[in-house]
Amino acid sequence: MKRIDIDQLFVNAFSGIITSEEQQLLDEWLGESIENKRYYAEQKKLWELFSLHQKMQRIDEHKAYQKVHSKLFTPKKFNFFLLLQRAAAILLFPVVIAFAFYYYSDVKHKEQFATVYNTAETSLGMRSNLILPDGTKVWLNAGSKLSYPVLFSDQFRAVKLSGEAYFEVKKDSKWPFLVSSGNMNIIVSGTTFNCNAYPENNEIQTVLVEGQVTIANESTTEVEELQPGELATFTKDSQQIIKEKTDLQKYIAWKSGKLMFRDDRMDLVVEKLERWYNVEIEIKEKEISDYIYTATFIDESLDQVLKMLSLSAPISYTVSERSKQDDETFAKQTVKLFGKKKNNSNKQIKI
Amino acid sequence: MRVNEIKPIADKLILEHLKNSNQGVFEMVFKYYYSGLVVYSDQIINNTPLSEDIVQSVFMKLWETRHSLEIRSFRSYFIQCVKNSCIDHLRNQEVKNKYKIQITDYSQFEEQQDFWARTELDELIHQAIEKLSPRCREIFILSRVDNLRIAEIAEKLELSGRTVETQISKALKSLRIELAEYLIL
Repeated sequence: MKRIDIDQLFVNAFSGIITSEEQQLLDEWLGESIENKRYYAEQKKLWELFSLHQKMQRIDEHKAYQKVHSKLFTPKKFNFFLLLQRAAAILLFPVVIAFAFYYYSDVKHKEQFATVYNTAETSLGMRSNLILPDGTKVWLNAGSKLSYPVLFSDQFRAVKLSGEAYFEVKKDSKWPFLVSSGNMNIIVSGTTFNCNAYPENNEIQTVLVEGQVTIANESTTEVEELQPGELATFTKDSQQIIKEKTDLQKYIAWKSGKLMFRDDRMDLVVEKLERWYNVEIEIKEKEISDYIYTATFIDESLDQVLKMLSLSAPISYTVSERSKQDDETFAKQTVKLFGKKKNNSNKQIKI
Repeated sequence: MRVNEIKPIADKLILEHLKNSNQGVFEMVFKYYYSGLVVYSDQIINNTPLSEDIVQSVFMKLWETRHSLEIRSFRSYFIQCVKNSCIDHLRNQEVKNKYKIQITDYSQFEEQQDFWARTELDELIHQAIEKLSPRCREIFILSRVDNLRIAEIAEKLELSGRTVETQISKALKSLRIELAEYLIL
Protein backbone atom coordinates (compact mmCIF):
# COMPACT_ATOMS: atom_id res chain seq x y z
CA MET A 1 0.00 0.00 0.00
CA LYS A 2 1.22 3.45 -0.82
CA ARG A 3 2.46 5.73 1.91
CA ILE A 4 0.25 8.53 0.64
CA ASP A 5 -2.99 6.60 1.11
CA ILE A 6 -1.83 5.89 4.61
CA ASP A 7 -1.45 9.63 5.26
CA GLN A 8 -5.07 10.16 4.31
CA LEU A 9 -6.08 7.29 6.61
CA PHE A 10 -4.15 8.98 9.41
CA VAL A 11 -5.94 12.24 8.84
CA ASN A 12 -9.29 10.45 8.91
CA ALA A 13 -8.32 8.53 12.03
CA PHE A 14 -7.09 11.63 13.88
CA SER A 15 -10.10 13.73 13.01
CA GLY A 16 -12.46 10.88 13.89
CA ILE A 17 -14.06 10.43 10.48
CA ILE A 18 -12.46 7.08 9.71
CA THR A 19 -14.80 4.36 8.43
CA SER A 20 -14.57 0.83 9.78
CA GLU A 21 -13.23 -0.28 6.41
CA GLU A 22 -10.47 2.31 6.51
CA GLN A 23 -9.74 1.46 10.14
CA GLN A 24 -9.26 -2.15 9.09
CA LEU A 25 -6.81 -1.11 6.38
CA LEU A 26 -4.98 1.07 8.90
CA ASP A 27 -4.78 -1.70 11.46
CA GLU A 28 -3.39 -4.08 8.83
CA TRP A 29 -0.78 -1.56 7.83
CA LEU A 30 0.18 -0.86 11.43
CA GLY A 31 0.62 -4.57 12.02
CA GLU A 32 3.12 -4.83 9.20
CA SER A 33 6.08 -3.36 11.11
CA ILE A 34 7.26 -1.52 14.16
CA GLU A 35 8.42 1.23 11.85
CA ASN A 36 4.89 1.77 10.71
CA LYS A 37 3.66 2.02 14.28
CA ARG A 38 6.35 4.50 15.12
CA TYR A 39 5.56 6.57 12.08
CA TYR A 40 1.90 6.58 13.02
CA ALA A 41 2.67 7.73 16.55
CA GLU A 42 4.83 10.56 15.28
CA GLN A 43 2.17 11.68 12.90
CA LYS A 44 -0.40 11.59 15.65
CA LYS A 45 1.74 13.79 17.85
CA LEU A 46 2.28 16.17 14.96
CA TRP A 47 -1.45 16.26 14.39
CA GLU A 48 -2.05 17.02 18.02
CA LEU A 49 0.40 19.85 17.90
CA PHE A 50 -1.49 21.35 15.00
CA SER A 51 -4.87 20.95 16.62
CA LEU A 52 -3.60 22.46 19.87
CA HIS A 53 -2.32 25.37 17.88
CA GLN A 54 -5.66 25.76 16.12
CA LYS A 55 -7.54 25.73 19.41
CA MET A 56 -5.25 28.32 20.92
CA GLN A 57 -5.83 30.66 18.04
CA ARG A 58 -9.54 30.70 18.83
CA ILE A 59 -8.93 31.96 22.36
CA ASP A 60 -8.99 35.69 22.95
CA GLU A 61 -6.56 36.37 25.77
CA HIS A 62 -7.02 40.15 25.40
CA LYS A 63 -10.72 39.97 26.10
CA ALA A 64 -10.09 37.60 28.99
CA TYR A 65 -7.54 39.97 30.42
CA GLN A 66 -10.02 42.86 30.24
CA LYS A 67 -12.38 40.79 32.34
CA VAL A 68 -9.79 39.90 34.96
CA HIS A 69 -8.47 43.46 34.94
CA SER A 70 -11.88 44.96 35.66
CA LYS A 71 -12.42 42.48 38.48
CA LEU A 72 -9.02 43.07 40.09
CA PHE A 73 -8.03 46.63 39.37
CA THR A 74 -11.24 48.62 39.60
CA PRO A 75 -11.86 47.84 43.25
CA LYS A 76 -13.79 51.03 44.05
CA LYS A 77 -16.45 50.39 41.46
CA PHE A 78 -16.50 46.73 42.31
CA ASN A 79 -16.85 47.46 46.01
CA PHE A 80 -19.46 50.10 45.37
CA PHE A 81 -21.68 47.65 43.58
CA LEU A 82 -20.98 45.00 46.14
CA LEU A 83 -21.94 47.49 48.82
CA LEU A 84 -25.04 48.40 46.85
CA GLN A 85 -25.94 44.73 46.52
CA ARG A 86 -25.53 44.20 50.23
CA ALA A 87 -27.45 47.35 51.04
CA ALA A 88 -30.19 46.24 48.68
CA ALA A 89 -30.32 42.83 50.34
CA ILE A 90 -30.53 44.41 53.79
CA LEU A 91 -33.15 46.91 52.65
CA LEU A 92 -35.10 44.27 50.83
CA PHE A 93 -35.87 42.41 54.02
CA PRO A 94 -38.06 45.10 55.63
CA VAL A 95 -39.49 45.84 52.19
CA VAL A 96 -40.59 42.24 51.88
CA ILE A 97 -42.15 42.38 55.32
CA ALA A 98 -43.81 45.70 54.57
CA PHE A 99 -45.06 44.38 51.29
CA ALA A 100 -46.41 41.24 52.90
CA PHE A 101 -48.08 43.34 55.56
CA TYR A 102 -49.47 45.70 52.96
CA TYR A 103 -50.66 42.83 50.83
CA TYR A 104 -52.29 41.20 53.82
CA SER A 105 -54.01 44.39 54.89
CA ASP A 106 -55.03 44.98 51.28
CA VAL A 107 -57.51 42.14 51.64
CA LYS A 108 -59.08 44.07 54.48
CA HIS A 109 -58.88 47.21 52.41
CA LYS A 110 -61.00 45.64 49.76
CA GLU A 111 -63.64 44.84 52.29
CA GLN A 112 -63.48 48.39 53.52
CA PHE A 113 -63.93 49.60 50.00
CA ALA A 114 -67.01 47.52 49.68
CA THR A 115 -68.50 49.38 52.60
CA VAL A 116 -67.76 52.79 51.10
CA TYR A 117 -70.95 53.69 49.32
CA ASN A 118 -71.81 56.03 46.54
CA THR A 119 -75.31 57.37 46.70
CA ALA A 120 -77.33 58.44 43.72
CA GLU A 121 -80.32 60.49 44.67
CA THR A 122 -83.14 62.09 42.78
CA SER A 123 -85.21 64.82 44.27
CA LEU A 124 -88.95 65.02 43.84
CA GLY A 125 -90.00 65.95 40.35
CA MET A 126 -86.73 64.64 38.90
CA ARG A 127 -85.67 61.41 37.30
CA SER A 128 -82.19 60.22 36.42
CA ASN A 129 -80.25 57.24 35.27
CA LEU A 130 -76.78 55.90 35.99
CA ILE A 131 -74.47 53.02 35.26
CA LEU A 132 -73.04 51.07 38.17
CA PRO A 133 -69.38 49.93 38.35
CA ASP A 134 -70.35 46.49 37.01
CA GLY A 135 -72.11 47.92 33.97
CA THR A 136 -75.65 47.59 35.31
CA LYS A 137 -77.97 50.37 34.12
CA VAL A 138 -80.27 51.96 36.63
CA TRP A 139 -83.09 54.47 36.15
CA LEU A 140 -84.09 56.28 39.30
CA ASN A 141 -87.58 57.64 39.67
CA ALA A 142 -88.39 60.84 41.52
CA GLY A 143 -87.53 61.03 45.21
CA SER A 144 -85.39 57.87 45.17
CA LYS A 145 -82.04 56.93 46.57
CA LEU A 146 -79.68 54.18 45.47
CA SER A 147 -76.55 53.31 47.46
CA TYR A 148 -73.91 51.15 45.86
CA PRO A 149 -70.34 50.36 46.88
CA VAL A 150 -67.45 52.07 45.16
CA LEU A 151 -66.15 48.58 44.57
CA PHE A 152 -68.45 45.59 44.48
CA SER A 153 -67.30 42.69 46.63
CA ASP A 154 -66.13 39.49 45.03
CA GLN A 155 -69.12 37.51 46.23
CA PHE A 156 -72.03 39.68 45.12
CA ARG A 157 -73.09 43.06 43.84
CA ALA A 158 -75.19 44.56 46.58
CA VAL A 159 -77.10 47.83 46.34
CA LYS A 160 -79.60 49.49 48.64
CA LEU A 161 -82.71 51.07 47.28
CA SER A 162 -85.09 53.52 48.80
CA GLY A 163 -87.70 54.63 46.31
CA GLU A 164 -88.31 53.37 42.79
CA ALA A 165 -85.77 52.15 40.32
CA TYR A 166 -85.66 50.23 37.09
CA PHE A 167 -82.70 47.89 36.74
CA GLU A 168 -81.04 46.39 33.70
CA VAL A 169 -78.58 44.11 35.45
CA LYS A 170 -75.38 43.17 33.64
CA LYS A 171 -75.40 39.42 33.14
CA ASP A 172 -73.00 37.46 35.34
CA SER A 173 -74.40 34.23 36.71
CA LYS A 174 -71.46 33.82 39.09
CA TRP A 175 -71.82 37.30 40.53
CA PRO A 176 -75.32 37.76 41.92
CA PHE A 177 -76.87 41.20 41.98
CA LEU A 178 -78.70 41.98 45.18
CA VAL A 179 -81.13 44.80 45.79
CA SER A 180 -82.09 45.28 49.37
CA SER A 181 -84.76 47.52 50.73
CA GLY A 182 -85.56 47.18 54.39
CA ASN A 183 -85.56 43.48 55.04
CA MET A 184 -86.63 42.52 51.55
CA ASN A 185 -83.98 41.38 49.15
CA ILE A 186 -84.12 40.91 45.42
CA ILE A 187 -81.50 38.55 44.10
CA VAL A 188 -80.82 38.34 40.39
CA SER A 189 -78.00 37.42 38.08
CA GLY A 190 -78.84 39.26 34.90
CA THR A 191 -82.34 40.54 34.38
CA THR A 192 -84.47 43.60 33.90
CA PHE A 193 -86.92 44.55 36.58
CA ASN A 194 -88.54 47.45 38.35
CA CYS A 195 -88.64 47.87 42.05
CA ASN A 196 -90.86 50.29 43.86
CA ALA A 197 -89.78 50.64 47.47
CA TYR A 198 -90.63 54.04 48.84
CA PRO A 199 -90.05 53.91 52.59
CA GLU A 200 -93.29 55.78 53.31
CA ASN A 201 -95.31 53.07 51.53
CA ASN A 202 -96.43 49.89 53.18
CA GLU A 203 -95.73 47.89 50.06
CA ILE A 204 -92.67 47.09 48.04
CA GLN A 205 -93.56 46.16 44.50
CA THR A 206 -91.26 44.35 42.13
CA VAL A 207 -92.13 43.56 38.54
CA LEU A 208 -90.00 41.41 36.33
CA VAL A 209 -89.56 42.40 32.71
CA GLU A 210 -87.08 39.81 31.64
CA GLY A 211 -85.04 36.92 33.09
CA GLN A 212 -85.60 35.71 36.60
CA VAL A 213 -85.49 37.20 40.06
CA THR A 214 -85.73 35.81 43.53
CA ILE A 215 -87.48 37.86 46.18
CA ALA A 216 -86.41 37.00 49.67
CA ASN A 217 -87.77 38.21 52.95
CA GLU A 218 -84.83 38.29 55.28
CA SER A 219 -86.82 38.08 58.49
CA THR A 220 -89.18 35.24 57.56
CA THR A 221 -86.79 33.66 55.05
CA GLU A 222 -89.69 33.48 52.64
CA VAL A 223 -88.51 33.15 49.08
CA GLU A 224 -90.48 33.73 45.91
CA GLU A 225 -89.33 33.37 42.35
CA LEU A 226 -90.77 35.69 39.74
CA GLN A 227 -91.41 34.98 36.09
CA PRO A 228 -91.47 37.76 33.48
CA GLY A 229 -94.72 39.73 33.62
CA GLU A 230 -95.26 38.94 37.30
CA LEU A 231 -95.58 41.36 40.15
CA ALA A 232 -94.48 40.64 43.67
CA THR A 233 -95.96 42.78 46.39
CA PHE A 234 -94.27 42.67 49.72
CA THR A 235 -96.35 44.05 52.50
CA LYS A 236 -94.35 45.44 55.39
CA ASP A 237 -97.12 44.99 57.97
CA SER A 238 -97.76 41.34 57.26
CA GLN A 239 -94.24 40.58 56.03
CA GLN A 240 -95.78 38.59 53.22
CA ILE A 241 -95.04 38.35 49.55
CA ILE A 242 -97.95 38.07 47.12
CA LYS A 243 -97.35 37.13 43.52
CA GLU A 244 -99.64 37.98 40.61
CA LYS A 245 -99.70 38.48 36.84
CA THR A 246 -99.74 42.11 35.90
CA ASP A 247 -99.56 44.69 33.13
CA LEU A 248 -95.90 45.59 33.03
CA GLN A 249 -96.30 48.88 31.25
CA LYS A 250 -98.02 50.47 34.17
CA TYR A 251 -94.96 49.83 36.33
CA ILE A 252 -92.20 50.69 33.97
CA ALA A 253 -93.70 53.51 31.88
CA TRP A 254 -92.20 56.12 34.18
CA LYS A 255 -88.77 55.20 32.90
CA SER A 256 -89.64 56.59 29.46
CA GLY A 257 -91.23 59.69 30.91
CA LYS A 258 -94.81 58.44 30.90
CA LEU A 259 -97.15 58.71 33.80
CA MET A 260 -99.46 55.73 33.54
CA PHE A 261 -102.43 54.77 35.60
CA ARG A 262 -104.36 51.58 35.11
CA ASP A 263 -107.36 51.08 37.40
CA ASP A 264 -105.50 52.83 40.16
CA ARG A 265 -107.06 54.32 43.23
CA MET A 266 -107.01 58.09 43.53
CA ASP A 267 -104.75 58.03 46.60
CA LEU A 268 -102.10 56.17 44.58
CA VAL A 269 -102.52 58.58 41.68
CA VAL A 270 -102.09 61.50 44.05
CA GLU A 271 -99.00 59.96 45.57
CA LYS A 272 -97.42 59.49 42.16
CA LEU A 273 -98.31 62.97 41.02
CA GLU A 274 -96.82 64.44 44.16
CA ARG A 275 -93.46 62.85 43.42
CA TRP A 276 -93.60 63.40 39.70
CA TYR A 277 -94.33 67.11 39.88
CA ASN A 278 -92.93 67.83 43.35
CA VAL A 279 -96.21 69.19 44.64
CA GLU A 280 -98.35 68.60 47.64
CA ILE A 281 -101.80 67.33 46.90
CA GLU A 282 -104.43 67.31 49.54
CA ILE A 283 -107.51 65.19 49.19
CA LYS A 284 -110.13 67.23 50.85
CA GLU A 285 -112.97 64.74 50.62
CA LYS A 286 -112.56 61.13 51.63
CA GLU A 287 -114.59 59.59 48.84
CA ILE A 288 -112.19 60.93 46.21
CA SER A 289 -109.59 58.42 47.42
CA ASP A 290 -111.79 55.56 46.26
CA TYR A 291 -112.12 56.75 42.68
CA ILE A 292 -110.40 54.46 40.18
CA TYR A 293 -108.46 55.98 37.31
CA THR A 294 -106.98 54.87 34.03
CA ALA A 295 -104.89 57.37 32.09
CA THR A 296 -101.52 57.88 30.43
CA PHE A 297 -99.72 61.19 30.48
CA ILE A 298 -96.72 61.96 28.38
CA ASP A 299 -94.73 65.14 28.94
CA GLU A 300 -97.73 66.96 30.28
CA SER A 301 -97.64 69.80 32.75
CA LEU A 302 -99.25 69.45 36.16
CA ASP A 303 -101.94 71.82 35.02
CA GLN A 304 -102.82 69.69 32.02
CA VAL A 305 -102.78 66.50 34.07
CA LEU A 306 -105.08 68.00 36.66
CA LYS A 307 -107.44 69.20 33.91
CA MET A 308 -107.58 65.71 32.42
CA LEU A 309 -108.23 64.19 35.82
CA SER A 310 -111.08 66.52 36.54
CA LEU A 311 -112.50 65.74 33.12
CA SER A 312 -112.67 62.05 33.79
CA ALA A 313 -113.80 62.24 37.40
CA PRO A 314 -116.09 64.45 39.45
CA ILE A 315 -113.22 66.45 40.83
CA SER A 316 -112.42 70.12 41.08
CA TYR A 317 -109.12 71.46 42.32
CA THR A 318 -107.34 74.55 43.47
CA VAL A 319 -103.64 75.38 43.06
CA SER A 320 -102.10 77.60 45.67
CA GLU A 321 -99.46 80.19 44.96
CA ARG A 322 -96.03 79.20 46.07
CA SER A 323 -95.69 81.18 49.24
CA LYS A 324 -92.39 82.66 50.27
CA GLN A 325 -91.10 81.06 53.44
CA ASP A 326 -89.05 82.62 56.24
CA ASP A 327 -85.79 81.37 54.77
CA GLU A 328 -86.50 83.13 51.44
CA THR A 329 -87.26 79.89 49.63
CA PHE A 330 -90.57 79.07 48.10
CA ALA A 331 -92.81 76.43 49.53
CA LYS A 332 -94.15 73.60 47.42
CA GLN A 333 -97.18 74.21 45.33
CA THR A 334 -100.23 72.86 47.01
CA VAL A 335 -103.07 71.31 45.08
CA LYS A 336 -106.36 70.72 46.80
CA LEU A 337 -108.82 68.26 45.41
CA PHE A 338 -112.53 68.68 46.03
CA GLY A 339 -115.74 67.15 44.98
CA LYS A 340 -117.22 68.83 41.91
CA LYS A 341 -119.82 70.89 43.71
CA LYS A 342 -117.52 72.63 46.17
CA ASN A 343 -116.45 76.22 45.80
CA ASN A 344 -113.10 77.54 46.94
CA SER A 345 -111.64 80.70 48.22
CA ASN A 346 -108.26 80.32 46.53
CA LYS A 347 -107.69 80.69 42.83
CA GLN A 348 -109.99 78.12 41.46
CA ILE A 349 -110.16 76.56 38.10
CA LYS A 350 -113.61 75.38 37.37
CA ILE A 351 -114.18 72.69 34.85
CA MET B 1 17.68 24.15 24.09
CA ARG B 2 14.15 22.80 24.12
CA VAL B 3 11.36 25.25 23.51
CA ASN B 4 9.81 24.16 26.82
CA GLU B 5 12.80 25.51 28.61
CA ILE B 6 12.73 28.89 26.95
CA LYS B 7 11.71 31.48 29.49
CA PRO B 8 11.14 34.83 27.89
CA ILE B 9 10.84 36.46 31.25
CA ALA B 10 12.88 35.19 34.08
CA ASP B 11 10.51 33.75 36.68
CA LYS B 12 12.41 35.25 39.55
CA LEU B 13 12.11 38.69 38.10
CA ILE B 14 8.41 38.20 37.40
CA LEU B 15 7.76 37.24 40.99
CA GLU B 16 9.59 40.27 42.25
CA HIS B 17 7.54 42.57 40.06
CA LEU B 18 4.30 40.90 41.06
CA LYS B 19 5.13 41.34 44.72
CA ASN B 20 5.59 45.02 43.96
CA SER B 21 2.10 45.00 42.45
CA ASN B 22 3.30 45.65 38.93
CA GLN B 23 0.15 45.37 36.86
CA GLY B 24 2.07 45.56 33.57
CA VAL B 25 4.05 42.44 34.42
CA PHE B 26 0.87 40.70 35.54
CA GLU B 27 -0.72 41.48 32.18
CA MET B 28 2.32 40.19 30.33
CA VAL B 29 2.31 36.92 32.24
CA PHE B 30 -1.44 36.58 31.77
CA LYS B 31 -1.28 37.03 28.01
CA TYR B 32 1.72 34.78 27.66
CA TYR B 33 0.20 31.79 29.42
CA TYR B 34 -3.57 32.29 29.13
CA SER B 35 -4.55 30.57 25.85
CA GLY B 36 -2.13 27.74 26.39
CA LEU B 37 -3.58 27.07 29.83
CA VAL B 38 -7.16 27.21 28.54
CA VAL B 39 -6.38 24.62 25.89
CA TYR B 40 -4.58 22.55 28.48
CA SER B 41 -7.62 22.67 30.78
CA ASP B 42 -9.94 21.97 27.87
CA GLN B 43 -8.04 18.75 27.17
CA ILE B 44 -8.96 17.55 30.66
CA ILE B 45 -12.52 18.79 31.19
CA ASN B 46 -13.59 19.25 27.57
CA ASN B 47 -15.44 22.50 28.24
CA THR B 48 -13.92 25.64 26.79
CA PRO B 49 -16.00 28.34 28.57
CA LEU B 50 -15.44 26.66 31.92
CA SER B 51 -11.76 26.30 31.13
CA GLU B 52 -11.56 30.04 30.55
CA ASP B 53 -13.23 30.62 33.93
CA ILE B 54 -10.82 28.26 35.65
CA VAL B 55 -7.74 29.90 34.17
CA GLN B 56 -9.02 33.40 34.96
CA SER B 57 -9.59 32.35 38.57
CA VAL B 58 -6.06 30.99 38.76
CA PHE B 59 -4.70 34.35 37.66
CA MET B 60 -6.92 36.24 40.05
CA LYS B 61 -5.72 34.06 42.88
CA LEU B 62 -2.16 34.70 41.80
CA TRP B 63 -2.71 38.44 42.07
CA GLU B 64 -4.56 38.28 45.36
CA THR B 65 -1.93 36.09 47.05
CA ARG B 66 1.08 37.64 45.31
CA HIS B 67 2.71 38.85 48.55
CA SER B 68 2.95 35.41 50.09
CA LEU B 69 3.85 33.44 46.99
CA GLU B 70 6.98 31.37 46.55
CA ILE B 71 7.18 30.38 42.90
CA ARG B 72 10.21 28.89 41.22
CA SER B 73 8.61 28.14 37.89
CA PHE B 74 5.50 29.93 36.75
CA ARG B 75 4.96 27.28 34.12
CA SER B 76 4.71 24.48 36.68
CA TYR B 77 2.81 26.70 39.09
CA PHE B 78 0.10 27.46 36.51
CA ILE B 79 -0.09 23.90 35.23
CA GLN B 80 -0.47 22.62 38.77
CA CYS B 81 -3.16 25.18 39.65
CA VAL B 82 -5.16 24.55 36.50
CA LYS B 83 -4.83 20.81 36.84
CA ASN B 84 -6.07 20.95 40.44
CA SER B 85 -9.05 23.10 39.48
CA CYS B 86 -9.91 20.72 36.65
CA ILE B 87 -9.73 17.71 38.92
CA ASP B 88 -11.89 19.51 41.50
CA HIS B 89 -14.42 20.19 38.79
CA LEU B 90 -14.44 16.57 37.65
CA ARG B 91 -14.83 15.37 41.26
CA ASN B 92 -17.76 17.72 41.78
CA GLN B 93 -19.37 16.41 38.66
CA GLU B 94 -18.84 12.88 39.84
CA VAL B 95 -20.54 13.71 43.13
CA LYS B 96 -23.42 15.14 41.16
CA ASN B 97 -23.66 11.98 39.07
CA LYS B 98 -23.53 9.83 42.17
CA TYR B 99 -25.43 6.97 40.61
CA LYS B 100 -22.76 6.58 38.04
CA ILE B 101 -20.20 4.48 39.83
CA GLN B 102 -16.88 5.34 38.37
CA ILE B 103 -13.65 5.82 40.16
CA THR B 104 -11.46 8.00 38.07
CA ASP B 105 -7.75 7.68 38.31
CA TYR B 106 -6.79 11.34 38.36
CA SER B 107 -3.12 10.50 38.19
CA GLN B 108 -3.62 9.93 34.47
CA PHE B 109 -3.57 13.72 34.07
CA GLU B 110 -0.13 13.98 35.62
CA GLU B 111 1.97 13.76 32.49
CA GLN B 112 -0.52 13.14 29.75
CA GLN B 113 -1.32 16.65 28.58
CA ASP B 114 0.99 18.84 26.66
CA PHE B 115 1.35 22.35 27.72
CA TRP B 116 2.49 24.93 25.25
CA ALA B 117 2.42 28.62 25.70
CA ARG B 118 0.90 30.06 22.60
CA THR B 119 3.91 32.02 21.45
CA GLU B 120 6.06 28.94 21.88
CA LEU B 121 3.86 26.78 19.74
CA ASP B 122 3.34 29.55 17.22
CA GLU B 123 7.05 29.88 16.86
CA LEU B 124 7.67 26.16 16.70
CA ILE B 125 5.12 25.49 14.00
CA HIS B 126 6.00 28.59 12.12
CA GLN B 127 9.65 27.67 12.06
CA ALA B 128 8.95 24.12 10.99
CA ILE B 129 6.59 25.07 8.22
CA GLU B 130 8.87 27.90 7.10
CA LYS B 131 11.42 25.31 6.12
CA LEU B 132 9.07 23.77 3.58
CA SER B 133 9.06 24.92 -0.03
CA PRO B 134 6.22 27.39 -0.73
CA ARG B 135 4.13 24.93 -2.75
CA CYS B 136 4.70 22.17 -0.27
CA ARG B 137 3.78 24.50 2.60
CA GLU B 138 0.56 25.55 0.90
CA ILE B 139 -0.52 21.98 0.30
CA PHE B 140 0.47 20.94 3.79
CA ILE B 141 -1.55 23.74 5.42
CA LEU B 142 -4.60 22.83 3.33
CA SER B 143 -4.23 19.23 4.33
CA ARG B 144 -3.30 19.47 8.01
CA VAL B 145 -4.67 22.83 9.10
CA ASP B 146 -7.77 23.12 6.93
CA ASN B 147 -8.47 19.38 6.93
CA LEU B 148 -9.05 19.11 3.20
CA ARG B 149 -8.91 15.74 1.47
CA ILE B 150 -6.30 15.13 -1.21
CA ALA B 151 -8.89 15.22 -3.97
CA GLU B 152 -10.24 18.52 -2.67
CA ILE B 153 -6.76 20.07 -2.55
CA ALA B 154 -6.01 18.81 -6.05
CA GLU B 155 -9.19 20.39 -7.32
CA LYS B 156 -8.57 23.66 -5.51
CA LEU B 157 -5.00 24.06 -6.71
CA GLU B 158 -5.66 22.51 -10.12
CA LEU B 159 -3.05 19.85 -9.55
CA SER B 160 -3.16 16.12 -10.01
CA GLY B 161 -3.86 14.04 -6.95
CA ARG B 162 -0.50 12.46 -7.45
CA THR B 163 1.33 15.79 -7.05
CA VAL B 164 -0.60 16.65 -3.92
CA GLU B 165 0.24 13.28 -2.40
CA THR B 166 3.89 13.71 -3.14
CA GLN B 167 4.00 17.21 -1.65
CA ILE B 168 2.28 16.15 1.56
CA SER B 169 4.61 13.25 1.85
CA LYS B 170 7.54 15.61 1.46
CA ALA B 171 6.17 18.05 4.02
CA LEU B 172 5.61 15.36 6.60
CA LYS B 173 9.06 14.00 6.15
CA SER B 174 10.50 17.46 6.62
CA LEU B 175 8.39 18.28 9.68
CA ARG B 176 9.26 14.97 11.23
CA ILE B 177 12.88 15.88 11.13
CA GLU B 178 12.28 19.49 12.15
CA LEU B 179 10.08 18.65 15.12
CA ALA B 180 11.81 15.41 15.97
CA GLU B 181 12.50 16.28 19.56
CA TYR B 182 8.85 17.17 20.27
CA LEU B 183 7.51 14.00 18.75
CA ILE B 184 9.35 11.70 21.10
CA LEU B 185 6.87 9.38 22.70
